[in-house]
Amino acid sequence: MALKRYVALISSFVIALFLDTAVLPKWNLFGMVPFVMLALMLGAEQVFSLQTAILIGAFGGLFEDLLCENMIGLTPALCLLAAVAYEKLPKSSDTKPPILGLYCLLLALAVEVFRALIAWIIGMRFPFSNMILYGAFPRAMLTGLWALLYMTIFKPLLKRQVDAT
Amino acid sequence: MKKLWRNRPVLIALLTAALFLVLAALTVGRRTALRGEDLFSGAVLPVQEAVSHMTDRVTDFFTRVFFPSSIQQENKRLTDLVSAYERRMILYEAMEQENARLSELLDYVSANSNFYFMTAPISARNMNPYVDTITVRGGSRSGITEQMAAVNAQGIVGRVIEVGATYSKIRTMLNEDMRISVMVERTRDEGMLGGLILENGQMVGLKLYYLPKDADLQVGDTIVTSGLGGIFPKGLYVGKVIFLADEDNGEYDACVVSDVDFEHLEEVLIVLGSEG
Repeated sequence: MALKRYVALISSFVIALFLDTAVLPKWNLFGMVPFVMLALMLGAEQVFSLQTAILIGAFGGLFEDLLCENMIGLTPALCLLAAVAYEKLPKSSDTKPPILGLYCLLLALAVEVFRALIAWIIGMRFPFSNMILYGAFPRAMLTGLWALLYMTIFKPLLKRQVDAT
Repeated sequence: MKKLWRNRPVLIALLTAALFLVLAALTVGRRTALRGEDLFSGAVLPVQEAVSHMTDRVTDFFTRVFFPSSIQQENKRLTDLVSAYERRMILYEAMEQENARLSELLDYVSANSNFYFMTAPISARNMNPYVDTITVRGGSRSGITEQMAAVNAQGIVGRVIEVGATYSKIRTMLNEDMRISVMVERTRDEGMLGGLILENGQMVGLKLYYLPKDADLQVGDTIVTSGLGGIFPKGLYVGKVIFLADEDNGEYDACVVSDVDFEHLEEVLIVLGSEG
């Protein structure tokens, strides 16, 4: 079953990478797109482990930065900090999905705001009004929903793994 | 390390995040790509382009299915654009041809600097198969008078037979009644040129006659105006001899063909006078 888990995670990783860097920049509504790699990381952390999330966050963020960003390292750093923060949030295996979704939303919002702030600090434009309407908040909301989707997809894999052991 | 990875993942995550932040700080505002970045992008970009291309195709498909009106609008816009470009192209080609013709006329004027010319665009022509009268813009107000010669870069076109205030009519060399005094450029033998030589209803050339009996005329000789009669100034190119008439032909001595394309004339030069 571990093989299935790896296959599911690796394929999700590749899909998330291309969704973030090639597909969603074109398919979106008013520029509102989820941060799929972050959603995958949070979903994997909830279902599997923090270590899995660290690997996804570090490599996923790094690859996306290499492909699309001029500043290499910010995205994986923020993803890793979000993974640590998610670890520290009060939750258990019985926590209801809306609460988990809300956690993901808040963390995604924090990541978005930090990215925007850092961009502003290094001298780029800080579109404050767009942040609320089309930027950070809707993006974080979609990321939260996407993370819940990943949790739903990954959960059966974990259950079978537990059953198998 | 494995133990640390299992027991202290938070610490590892924080350390890695710190390292990434340092990397981010180091790469702010750089202009050249890192070597690793180059390698990674080189490997992934083709796949990314393929995914992007596929995305475009899928987007196009759904746009066609769900928003046909936008496609129709786009189609109409592009069709209008193509029509506009076609119109512009036709204008451009016409201008290009006009430019070529005027350049030829200019060369002709430069080569005949002892004459005074005026360019007159053709405004009308009769519809006879053999065009023999053309109307040009420019008349007495422009200094044109009857009997003035009309030429173009290829040779003699005709002479002015009627002058209005703003127009003039020119009888071309294709008119049966047209006669001009010419000479053979090489031998300086003088004669008359005029009247059409026809074969099976098709014009072959113009009749050259009244040459001296001992004239040494050869095929290929150049015929120019002689200046006699006072209508056509001396030395204007008329045409070339293409064949000599038989001994028993009393009607003409040779056939001269003009280079002027009478059916496609668009401008002529009116010879207003000459130096001296």
